[in-house]
Amino acid sequence: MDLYLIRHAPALDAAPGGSDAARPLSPKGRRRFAQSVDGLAHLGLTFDLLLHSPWLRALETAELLAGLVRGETRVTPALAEPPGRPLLAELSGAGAAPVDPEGRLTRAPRRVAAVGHQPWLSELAAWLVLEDPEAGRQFQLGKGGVLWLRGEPAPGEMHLQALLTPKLVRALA
Amino acid sequence: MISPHPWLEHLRRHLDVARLGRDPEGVHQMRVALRRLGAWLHLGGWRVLADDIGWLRRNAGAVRDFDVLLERHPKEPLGPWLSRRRERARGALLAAIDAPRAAGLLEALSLAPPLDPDRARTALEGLAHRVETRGKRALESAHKPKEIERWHALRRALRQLRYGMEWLELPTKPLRELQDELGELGDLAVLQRQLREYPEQRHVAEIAAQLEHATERALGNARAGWRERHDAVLAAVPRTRPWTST
Repeated sequence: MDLYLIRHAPALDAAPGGSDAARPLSPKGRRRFAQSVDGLAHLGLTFDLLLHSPWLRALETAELLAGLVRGETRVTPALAEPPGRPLLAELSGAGAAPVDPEGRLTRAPRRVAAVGHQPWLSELAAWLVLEDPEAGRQFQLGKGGVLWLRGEPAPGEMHLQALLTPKLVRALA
Repeated sequence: MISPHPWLEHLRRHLDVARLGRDPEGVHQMRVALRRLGAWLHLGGWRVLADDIGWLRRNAGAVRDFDVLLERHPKEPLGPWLSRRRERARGALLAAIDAPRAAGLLEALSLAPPLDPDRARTALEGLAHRVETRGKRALESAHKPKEIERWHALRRALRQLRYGMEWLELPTKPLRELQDELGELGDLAVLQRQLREYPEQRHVAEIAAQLEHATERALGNARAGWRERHDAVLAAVPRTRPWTST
């Protein structure tokens, strides 16, 4: 499968007494990420499945990406916490390529996007590529940035294809 | 601004009732709340969360359909067979209610910003247009299976329009009346789907024959209901621009 780990776009600070989960995107962050979506569309990128954290800034980022989704969107609480086995199971189920009774692939492996938060997306990438979630610092991901991985979503079984900075993604538009 | 919280709380309460399984109203109200929240998302132009709502609603709908059928057919030959199928559907519903995806849906809805009424009014017009198009298509259908499917599509569109209008606190009497008239056809179609899967068709031949007559009658009521009420239904929707009937 191709897995695109996407960090939410820039968000406002929490309102006084408000929760971190309730922070919305900033107007500038929204505007810039809309350009990023144009950049991804320019690459011809579409997603068979879009997973996103339930937190508002991820929800709003996912909504901006919705035009690139050809299948389902799915709220995934495991994206709003440090990566663990439940998230791997979710990705594994999502990425399973359908096979016919003879075991042949009936279509290409799926393209899955996962919209979430730092440092957990970097830890997830480090776990999937290097088998070591603690090596997350090697996968720096800016707000609105995209990490593209390919392979089976299991520890050490994915390969890094590209790390697209927010500026680069916008420049593609 | 329109907050989803009243129906979100309704959903939370009835998830617990549905989980306990003592009162069929729990599943019914859970489905009603999910449909209303789905309409709220649509009015706000949200694409995300709609699939999550649909997933949970379908799980509730499978159980609710059996509850309605069992009220009408509690005895042999159908009753015990339907009960077994209901238990399977209930197992799937319980798994869905307790899945992280359901918890995530509740959390995301609780964080979503309130809905702008101006935006909602514009979205209502799109829903009204869909109702009119689907009604016209249903009336023009030449083949019965296709016609039944098209009346269902109209009923779904009508229900979403009604819930949308209720979020804006607009009167919906003509919509509710038409919805009731189309409802019988929906219930009969659910029974028909189940009957097709019944293993011993000869045991349910009598029910199938009654169903055929009832479906003819319900189709007649649907056609008459739409002809009689569609003007009133469409007139109930406020317009931000002149409405041209097609």
